[in-house]
Amino acid sequence: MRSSFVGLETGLRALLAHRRAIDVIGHNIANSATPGYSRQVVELQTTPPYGVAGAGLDLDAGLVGTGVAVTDIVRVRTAFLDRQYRQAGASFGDAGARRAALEAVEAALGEPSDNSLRAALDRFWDAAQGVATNPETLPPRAALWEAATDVVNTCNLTWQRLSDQRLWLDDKLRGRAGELDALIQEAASLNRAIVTVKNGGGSPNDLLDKLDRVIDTMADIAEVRVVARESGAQAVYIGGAMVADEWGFSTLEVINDPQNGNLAALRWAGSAAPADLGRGELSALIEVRDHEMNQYLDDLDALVQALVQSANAVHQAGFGLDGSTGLDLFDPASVGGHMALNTAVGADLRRIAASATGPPGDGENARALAGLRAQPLLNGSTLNDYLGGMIARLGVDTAAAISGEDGARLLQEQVDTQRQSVSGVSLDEETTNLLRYQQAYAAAARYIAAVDEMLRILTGNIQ
Amino acid sequence: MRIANNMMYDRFLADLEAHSARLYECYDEVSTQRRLRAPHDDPAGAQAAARVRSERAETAQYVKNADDGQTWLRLSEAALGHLGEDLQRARELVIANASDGGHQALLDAAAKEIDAIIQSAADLGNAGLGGRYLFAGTATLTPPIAFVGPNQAQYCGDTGQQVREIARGQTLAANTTGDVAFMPALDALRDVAVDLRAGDTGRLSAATLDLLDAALDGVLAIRADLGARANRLDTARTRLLEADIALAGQQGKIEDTDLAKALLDLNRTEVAYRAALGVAARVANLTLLDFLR
Repeated sequence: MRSSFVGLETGLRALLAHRRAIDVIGHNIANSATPGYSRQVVELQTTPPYGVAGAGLDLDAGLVGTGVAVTDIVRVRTAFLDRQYRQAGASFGDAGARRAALEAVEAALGEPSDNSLRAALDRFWDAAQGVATNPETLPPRAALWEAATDVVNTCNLTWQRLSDQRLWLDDKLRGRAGELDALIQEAASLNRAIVTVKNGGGSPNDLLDKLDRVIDTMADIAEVRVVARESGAQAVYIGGAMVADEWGFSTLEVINDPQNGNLAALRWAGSAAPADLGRGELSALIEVRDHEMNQYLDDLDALVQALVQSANAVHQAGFGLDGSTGLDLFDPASVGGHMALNTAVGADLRRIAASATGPPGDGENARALAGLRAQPLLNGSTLNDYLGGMIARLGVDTAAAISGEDGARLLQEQVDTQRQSVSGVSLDEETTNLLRYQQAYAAAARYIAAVDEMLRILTGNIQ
Repeated sequence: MRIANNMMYDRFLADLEAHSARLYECYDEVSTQRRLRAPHDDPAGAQAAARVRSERAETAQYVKNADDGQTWLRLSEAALGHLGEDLQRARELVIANASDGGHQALLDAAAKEIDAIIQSAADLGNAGLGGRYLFAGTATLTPPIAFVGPNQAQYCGDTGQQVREIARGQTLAANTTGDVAFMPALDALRDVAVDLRAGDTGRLSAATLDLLDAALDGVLAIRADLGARANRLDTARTRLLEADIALAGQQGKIEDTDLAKALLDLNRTEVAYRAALGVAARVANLTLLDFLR
């Protein structure tokens, strides 16, 4: 025999379930603009039907349903798309770091312009010709000295800017490493919370959203891999090592490496080996700082030394107006960043060795100095061509970094669009569903009223 | 494909940002008139532009060298022209006094005039330009012609060349030295004065006259040579200026904006930007909520 109150229970279940569904819709609508939010969908299922077949039970017309219940609140998200997004993020972080660093190098070298190192060198060669044409008087010598000072200052300044760029990269590296560390800790604590909720039987949907956002941010910085566990936790791996799960996390340490001028080196706590961070902003920063920047600094140093040595060789062979010979034009101890002129010559410009054989009207040695412009002084190239090669290489690398960054960003945007398509809130959709559940709720309420009226008839409450 | 609200808004933002960035670049190109503002805009172009700029600087310097050489040559040639006139005058005196039977008084008077001509010739030999002596070779700070005795001149300079570089590896000597340009003339004039004072018209009309003629021919030959060198400099200068014009054109092609194209780009980008803004506004306003009570 069926209970008379079954109808009420069915109605109640309907009210509760649809009310819950409306709550979830409300949550979706409230978070429709929240970044990283995945829409949630109630899973409605019929509750187990009344009337199980068995001995002694009067089987009426089939099994009768007993209503509806919310069995789960499902978070709509595709892990595959998340993986793709993070891969694109690694490329984006990598290219972005390169682009920023290389654009700064471009600014330091200052081409194409009339203020670059190449332009200063040109003015130096021209001033030497000026002395060759007029070796007896002081004004052309003063002009040559001025031009040489300009070359020295420009070389030193350029070297300094490149060197400062290295320090800037190092600072950025330290900052980002600190950020990564904070994100790792947050991932671990979110994992703990997620596992706790799951164990309690709940669906930690919003926590999972938060964790996914944390991991998305991490993916720009280092190469991140996520392994989903039974417990509900999302274990985070960086470069093969597990760094965060529900039990704890690894700390990324920044130490000053004495073998690298006390610049930052990254280690996982408890390990002596350099941290393997895979592809991403951090490893790009390290590589540009230690490899590319050093390359440009070395190239500049080679240029300075070639100039100093060959100019000094020519200058030593010549004679000044006062008969002095064997003097250097540049300080022979010059190296990149610390280039200088020979102050002994600067004190008395008559010592500039313009003459090849001694007489004051002979400017051939100055002409030989100017002739260094056409000599293959460095790797078979003239100094001007060497600089030109550096500029071309730099331009190609920077253009590649820029297009790499653009490409990665476009890819990320594309993947994100697909993610949004799956997980994003559509207000029209939510509004329509709201109508649906509202109607169902209203109908259920009407149904309860109907059942109530029937019960009253039964119990004679109606006069 | 299911469309979520954020998808549309994110798309709007990304597209508007892309249009803005492009607009900014167009503006930059038009306002700076440069299409090559950093090496990455055109790496090969940047390298070529650097080379062209350096070549232009070098060419300008060669032009300066050529101009300086021209001055030296012109002044030398002018001095030698005057020397030629002096030698002609001396020759006239020799011819006039070379016949036998001239009065010693007349011969002495002629000798006095020769003395003056010798001084004039020496002064020409010591001609200068901005504190440097033109005919001294490379010992340009000391006068090349000095007198060691009455009418006895000596060359004190050296045989060095004033080298002017007018193209890479191409040089030209802009001077001629006093030992070949002046000493034959001064020696011949000295002999003329000696012969006149000694009354030795025999030698005067023979050996000495030959020396004088040889000196005159020498001066003419040197003037011709200087003229030829001046022509070469002229040609070189013209060539250099033409080369600079070509280089300037090359530099412009590499570095400068094609203004017409840049303005078209700017217009097109602006139109696209406006269209995107308009469409975004229309689409963003469509929502079901407007139609529900």
